[in-house]
Amino acid sequence: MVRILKFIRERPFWAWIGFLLIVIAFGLVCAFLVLTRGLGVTNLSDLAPWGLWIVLDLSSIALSAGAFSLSALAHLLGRDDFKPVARIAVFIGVLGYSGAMMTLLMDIGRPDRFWHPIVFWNTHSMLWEVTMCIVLYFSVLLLEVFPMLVDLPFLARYRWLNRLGHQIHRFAPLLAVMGMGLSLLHQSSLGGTYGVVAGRASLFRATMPLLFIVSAVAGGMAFTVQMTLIVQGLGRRILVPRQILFQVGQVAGAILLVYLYMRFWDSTAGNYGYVPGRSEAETTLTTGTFGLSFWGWEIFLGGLLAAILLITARQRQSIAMLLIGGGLAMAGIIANRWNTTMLAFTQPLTLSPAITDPVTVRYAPNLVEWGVVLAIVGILTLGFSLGMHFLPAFRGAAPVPVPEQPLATPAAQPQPAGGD
Amino acid sequence: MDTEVLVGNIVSILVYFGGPIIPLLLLAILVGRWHSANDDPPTEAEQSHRTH
Repeated sequence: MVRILKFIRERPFWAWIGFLLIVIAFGLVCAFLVLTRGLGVTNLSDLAPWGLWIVLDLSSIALSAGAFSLSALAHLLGRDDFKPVARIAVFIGVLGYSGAMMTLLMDIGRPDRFWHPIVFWNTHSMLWEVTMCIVLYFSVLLLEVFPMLVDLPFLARYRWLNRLGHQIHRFAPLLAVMGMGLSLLHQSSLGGTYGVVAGRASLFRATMPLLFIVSAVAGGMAFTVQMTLIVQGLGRRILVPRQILFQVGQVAGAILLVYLYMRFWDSTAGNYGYVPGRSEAETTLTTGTFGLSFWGWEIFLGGLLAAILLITARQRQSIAMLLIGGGLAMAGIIANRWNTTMLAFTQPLTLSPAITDPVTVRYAPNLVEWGVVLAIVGILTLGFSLGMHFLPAFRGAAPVPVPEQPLATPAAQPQPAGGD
Repeated sequence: MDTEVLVGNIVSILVYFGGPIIPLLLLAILVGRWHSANDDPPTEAEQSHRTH
């Protein structure tokens, strides 16, 4: 035990990697169960086909949205000072989309057919459009990350690889345009996939694509700021100047407020009249079993408070406020995706009196589903930790220690003018 | 409402919100302290301005 504690104190990074490997090993056992025995070992069913894994899929894609939005700001709007933070966002994006694809591989039930949408085009399906956009955008992200990977010291002897990396880097603005186009399509199409499900009253609305894309941009930017600050603080180096992080935080906070405004009108004007199923779902969301999660995490902590902290952090020059704001925004996005997905199952598929059973379903993820989530999140965290530790692009700069302020002596204190 | 149920509900709510928030606050304090003790290195423009 003493040895372990000594190892953790002396080599915290490798202790962290060891911890992640243990988590991943447990999760991979669960993934093996799913791959060999099928979805029967989960709590997913025909009535609740979208569960925890889809929430993870939607959340990781939303939190990766910093990649396209910050790349667009840096490469298309000429904000060169945003390039370091855009680089981190792109790396998070690659990992986020890898996680989304891993999750879908587990979720589709027939993982051996994962390649079917690429070959057998179903152009009438919203999911097919999302799949193609994700595949293409992941390719764009890989091209954006490639120049960072070829800078690794052990690849230095392959000069052609290095040259290729730098050639690709020259096309960064073009990749940013492609990335933005593909992201705008599929981030909103994920909302659209829900929005066209006529059988699920709480989902069936035209505003879903807009709500998804705007919330993703805010959450993705805030998450990138949060991760950058954590890497800087724990890695004891500067990757991005703090004023840039404050600026990105303000943009994320402002977009979060726009999202809350849109959500307010969607909930109020959208429920002005009685809409069968949807009105009941809205009541369940705001006053029923989802109330605590909706008001607590999604609206107050992950929405309003997160936006206020992100926006005012710059004025107060507070890194802690910026980090808390980013963390709360991340939690708000995850809560939103959870509530949106789960709320759909609270209403009957049909109001036809002839069909009385099955009507609704109660779903809670089981240990196998949580295990798979742990494995995927563990793999992504491992990739992020290793990338931030070893990639030369994220080596950063040594900080300048702030000199300690000398304590004011009574003689140095200003005397009050006048008085008696 | 039964006192036991009431206490149980309060504890659940505290865990539900406190579980994610407490680690986030601790991390923010840790990272915030490091950033207040360490400043950004000067940019190229600042360096050239100082040398001239």
